[in-house]
Amino acid sequence: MVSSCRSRAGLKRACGLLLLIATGLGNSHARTLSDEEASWLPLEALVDVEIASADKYIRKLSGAASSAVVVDAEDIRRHGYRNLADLLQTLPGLYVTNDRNYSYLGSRGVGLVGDWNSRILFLVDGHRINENVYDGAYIGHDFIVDLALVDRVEYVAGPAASMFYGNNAFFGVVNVITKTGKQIDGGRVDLSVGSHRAQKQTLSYGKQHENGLDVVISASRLDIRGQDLYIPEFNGVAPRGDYEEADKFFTKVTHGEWSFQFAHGERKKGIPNAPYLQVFFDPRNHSHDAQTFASLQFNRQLESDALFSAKIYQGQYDYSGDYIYADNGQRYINRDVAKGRWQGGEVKYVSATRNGHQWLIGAEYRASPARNQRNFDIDGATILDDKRSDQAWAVYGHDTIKLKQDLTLDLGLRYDRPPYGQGRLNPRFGLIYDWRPETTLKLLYGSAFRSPNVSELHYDINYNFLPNPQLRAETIRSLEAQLEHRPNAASRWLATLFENRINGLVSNVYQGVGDDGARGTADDVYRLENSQQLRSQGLELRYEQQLDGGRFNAAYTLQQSDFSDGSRLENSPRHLAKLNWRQPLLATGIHWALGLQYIGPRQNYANQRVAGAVLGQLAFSGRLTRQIDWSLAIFNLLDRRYNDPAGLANAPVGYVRQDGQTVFFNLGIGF
Amino acid sequence: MSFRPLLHLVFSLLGVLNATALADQASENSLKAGFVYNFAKFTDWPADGHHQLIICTLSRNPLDGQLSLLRGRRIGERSLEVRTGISSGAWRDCHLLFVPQEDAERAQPILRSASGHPLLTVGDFADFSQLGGHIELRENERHLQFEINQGAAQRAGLKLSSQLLKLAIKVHP
Repeated sequence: MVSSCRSRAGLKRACGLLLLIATGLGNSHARTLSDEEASWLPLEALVDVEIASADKYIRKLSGAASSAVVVDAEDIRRHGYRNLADLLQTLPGLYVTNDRNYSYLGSRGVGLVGDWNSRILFLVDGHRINENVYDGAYIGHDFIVDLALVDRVEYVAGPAASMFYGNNAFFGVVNVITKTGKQIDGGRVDLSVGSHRAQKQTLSYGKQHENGLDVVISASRLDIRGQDLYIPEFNGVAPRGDYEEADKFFTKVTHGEWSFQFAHGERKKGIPNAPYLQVFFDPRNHSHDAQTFASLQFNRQLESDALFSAKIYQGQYDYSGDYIYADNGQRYINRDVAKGRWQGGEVKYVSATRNGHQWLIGAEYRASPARNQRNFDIDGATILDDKRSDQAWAVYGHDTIKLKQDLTLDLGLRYDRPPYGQGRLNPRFGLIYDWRPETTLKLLYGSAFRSPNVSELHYDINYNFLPNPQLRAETIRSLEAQLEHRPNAASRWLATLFENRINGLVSNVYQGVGDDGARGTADDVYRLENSQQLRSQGLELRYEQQLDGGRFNAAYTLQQSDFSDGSRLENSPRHLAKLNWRQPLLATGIHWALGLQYIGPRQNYANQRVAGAVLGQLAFSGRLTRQIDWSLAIFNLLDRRYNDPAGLANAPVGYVRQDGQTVFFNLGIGF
Repeated sequence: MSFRPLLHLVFSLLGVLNATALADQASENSLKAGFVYNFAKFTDWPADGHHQLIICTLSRNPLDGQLSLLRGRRIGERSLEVRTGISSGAWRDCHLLFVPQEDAERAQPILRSASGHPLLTVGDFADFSQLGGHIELRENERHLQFEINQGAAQRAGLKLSSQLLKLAIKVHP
């Protein structure tokens, strides 16, 4: 490494940095103690031990074989993340693509623009967030919970976690765990301002009362005026076309073993780039999404590490979008509406560890009285009025078997009865070998599926994108080998090799020319079909280091995804690199936090190359008084001009220009 | 020119090289169980001929099962017994009463009637020592600390060792 450091000036700088990291950071020796060890500590030692934030339940439920990446409340505050998308794009192997309407999360090389994140399962405190019309989850300012309420975000890659969550946990699971009232402990007002005339106000309160009643309540409001964007494909400006307004409300009441949650989030977004062949530009073009859920959960900790949990929930999703078309020069509004209603319940039981076995069994049921889609012209004809209702259930079992002191076997089986198509049986197999006290080897095989959603099946509006009622479920088989090395308790190396084989990925397939009779124009006709096999292979390296008052981590992912006929997948960068670093700035009480991401070149839907980009964020945060804190975050630090690839719905737009440098300032007042 | 000295300076200034030894971490409940065990170890009860030292709690599953794991440990000649879910009138056999936050209300009658009896009371919530409790556990910046109400302990005939008093963040006379 040292010799290669002499070769080029740019490399030299990078090498210097690496050397510093290697030499300067490696002198911490903290450990995470087992429960047994901790309770035997002498008193002098006990007062020095830090309380670990890891939640036992969640660990237990995601299984021994999966490795979660965790971002905690301190990371969120110090890095000044504005929303979940900001946070997720800093994680290994993940990338976010934005078409200026929604944000799409890509994972391990697959990030289909226009899939509304239906291939990743999003949870809030274990509660499914993906709605039931598009199976979508919304991760920008449209995410249902404000990040200020989040204690931590856990991401498990691969179908490892699908064992417990089924449909949509195709490429991974993102679990957002909210703070308790005890953690918040008091009231708080947050006032933020940012570039493009962004303003946000949040009011939150959390308290654990003496009788054990724990309450969290929060409301927030966001308003971004947005830029007057120039859209090159139309050679025009969309004045005030990029505005965004979002409101959220969240409450959680926990008493003993019972917990009740209610969340509501809604967002209106102006659409500046006229997707779906609209006229450019009309300020009335927008989308509006509203989501609500309520859940009641019961958790009982049984003897030693056994656990029983049960939950009932209800959710709803309403979408409405206004799209502007012209007929003989006369503009009219086409309105697209979706209405989703669902309710369900689930039970889970985790056994105590006996004779080296720990069992987990669970069952879930979900009814969807409405998965409705409607499309009509205002003052005109109804084009689509599709009403669907259905139900789904699943049962699963999982066993963690300690074969030997250093060898653990992880076996799982899940049976799903999805709303469409036949029943699905998916196995999972994991082997964990503690090679040395500081080194673990893991081998993991799992499969998962995704049922086509009602939009893919039935959204037929005589348009040039056709649905397909004959679609089959997508399936994925995934094989993963992982090496984890912990040279000391403050640092961890992870190397992962993975291969995914995806069958029947639902894709747009060219059918013929559109009304203009010419091929290669925006009105070409496409139909959704199950594609041939897609194979992704890759390697991921990650290093994490706890610092005194801070944290450092870096990751690199190399992957390639090809269809069996050799064609490349759209929006599938071969290279992704991430760096996150936060620390106190000397003894000033101010913290700095740096995030860097590199996303390699990728292709858009039309096989045009979208250049790679280096993005940076820098944030500072501190405290003015005991009651008042502040943070200042700069996004796209280097003010790079870069594009995300557009989706097919954006045609003729092929590249979506992203924001240049922006700032976001927050002032928090506690009471 | 080499960037290394410059970078070294910059990162030193930023505090990167101050990474020092970090605190060990453990789950909150196991730490609390460890504290309770140590409180029992560093307290002298008036002689009562019991061969067991009995820890009691109103809660059925105190500290998510961690407290019960102390069962069978030895302190000198005596072995530890943990009784969970006791009724509020059944404290007379107990040597130590552990009061988690959720029992705060229910424990008040015991605190009143046991006042002056050799029952060491350990509370896991704010203002416990103000209510007449003997040892109050509290969390501060992700560490556990404790306060001692020495006057109340002395009135109860309990002798807390100097080591305990030394590590307490506050000792009320």
